[in-house]
Amino acid sequence: MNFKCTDLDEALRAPELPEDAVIHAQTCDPCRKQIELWSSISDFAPQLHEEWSSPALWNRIECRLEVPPRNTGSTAWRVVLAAAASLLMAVGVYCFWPTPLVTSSIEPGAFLTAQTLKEVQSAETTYVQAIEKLSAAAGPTLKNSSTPLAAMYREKLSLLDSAIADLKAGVAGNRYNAYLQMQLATLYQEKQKTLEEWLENAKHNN
Amino acid sequence: MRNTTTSLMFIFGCALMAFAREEVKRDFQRTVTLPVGRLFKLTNAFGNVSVHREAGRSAAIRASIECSADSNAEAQKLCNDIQISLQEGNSGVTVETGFPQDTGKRNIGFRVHYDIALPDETPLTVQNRFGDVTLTDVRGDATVRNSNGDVRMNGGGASRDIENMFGNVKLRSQQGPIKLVNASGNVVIDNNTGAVRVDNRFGDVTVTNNGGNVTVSNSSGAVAVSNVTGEVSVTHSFGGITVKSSGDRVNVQNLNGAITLDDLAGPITARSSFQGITITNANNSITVDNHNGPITVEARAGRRCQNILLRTTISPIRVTVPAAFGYTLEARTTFGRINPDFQLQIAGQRTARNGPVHDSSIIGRIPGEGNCDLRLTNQNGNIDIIRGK
Repeated sequence: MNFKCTDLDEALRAPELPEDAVIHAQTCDPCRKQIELWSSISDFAPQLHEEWSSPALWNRIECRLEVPPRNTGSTAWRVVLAAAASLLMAVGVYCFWPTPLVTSSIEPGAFLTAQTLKEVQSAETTYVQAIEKLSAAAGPTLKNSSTPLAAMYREKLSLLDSAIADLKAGVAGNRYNAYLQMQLATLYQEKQKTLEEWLENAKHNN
Repeated sequence: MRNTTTSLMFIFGCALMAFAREEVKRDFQRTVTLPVGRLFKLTNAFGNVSVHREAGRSAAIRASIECSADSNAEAQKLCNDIQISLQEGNSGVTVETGFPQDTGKRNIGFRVHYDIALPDETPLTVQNRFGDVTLTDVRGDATVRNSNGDVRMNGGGASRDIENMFGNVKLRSQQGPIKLVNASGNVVIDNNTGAVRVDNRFGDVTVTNNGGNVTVSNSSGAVAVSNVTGEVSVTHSFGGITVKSSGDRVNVQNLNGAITLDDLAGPITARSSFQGITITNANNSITVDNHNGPITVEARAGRRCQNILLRTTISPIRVTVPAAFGYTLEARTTFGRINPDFQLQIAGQRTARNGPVHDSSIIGRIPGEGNCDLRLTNQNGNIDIIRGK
């Protein structure tokens, strides 16, 4: 029975906690608390299991895990890390745990998550770039043509531009509203399609 | 093993923190009494509005205010800051959603949906943005101004005055006159008993089973009108027009698009360019003016003959007249032939041949009962005249 507090680190790496460590913890408050903390993390872990749609993510995690973090000195950093992890876990679980009284009837997907917002904004940037290119290509023929068809396309594009500006103003103050973002994407799509149609038409007429 | 768990927990925790959002919902509910004829007006944005009929004289207003923010406290505050004001006056009830002004650049989202039960004979005005408006069996006059959302009405009566942008409009089983201005969206109106007037831009318009007159103005898209007892008038720019089974006068003008008319009892006037005009089973007088597009007309044998006046350029004209009736024929074309498939009583004929090309004109009579005009004018195209059944 020579188990010491400094042995705890090694003991925690084992699949099962050694019996002498358990006995030692009965009389050692700091070690007992640390063991309890580890246990609680282990208990929480299965609940947080999630399938990741990103195939590269696990590889990145695995690479990180393969870096040997052992024997860096005192166990203090692990305690801090564990505490931080517990805190984050608790916050994360709390954030995601539905609060039945206030959120149960909100339709899923009504609001974006931070991640989906990021993806939407990225898609918007792509659209805007594509539209800028198309506008540059369509601009001269569209501007100079005096046909009724060109007038119709100009009117449609002007209507779309005004609607996009209006919607962007709405989105600026309500960016997590999924409906608004969807509407904005639809308008960008429509503008892209309209410009493509005009270019196709101009190609056939020339 | 435990180190692995810790690291995983840490990464998951970080991920959860990064994605964590709080969503909060606050409900609003009020009931007000609305005497007959008092107006109900709702102004909203960022959500759907649903109105349905309610027996009695009470209007029940239910709203759900839904908010999303980084923290629960912020979401709660946002939902509390979105205020619904309800004012009762001599003219009626006004409900308005008030939104906080300082929402820019905050990581928030919100929406406000309404569900309103409305008594009969209550004039309704809805102004909404960024959401759908749905009226079910609403029996008072309704005025709807909406944008970036659909407008749907099913059942109900009285007049409908609708303006919508960037959304579809679907109106079914309405009983009053409908006036609709829409942009960038499709319009479907079915089974309405009153007059319909649609001014649409950049979308399809479909009107079926209508009991009154139908007037459609559109700029791009397809227009289809069928089973109408009243007059049909369509003005269009780019896209096809189809009118089928109408009981009264039909007037169709297109700038650049095909026109297809079938089974029409009333007089027909059609004008287009660059595309074909096809008329079948026509029971009344026909006037067609096309430009750079073919004309195909098949007149049905009715109780008496009807005047047929057709004109186009650079395309053929093909007309089928009923066998029983007589016509005074005046057909002219340049750079083309006139080809009757039966014996005419010719009063005058001229054919000038210039190489393989003919300039032709025939003035004469198609024998039969009555004496209607058959006037066919073409340039750079043939004229085929066929005797039908």
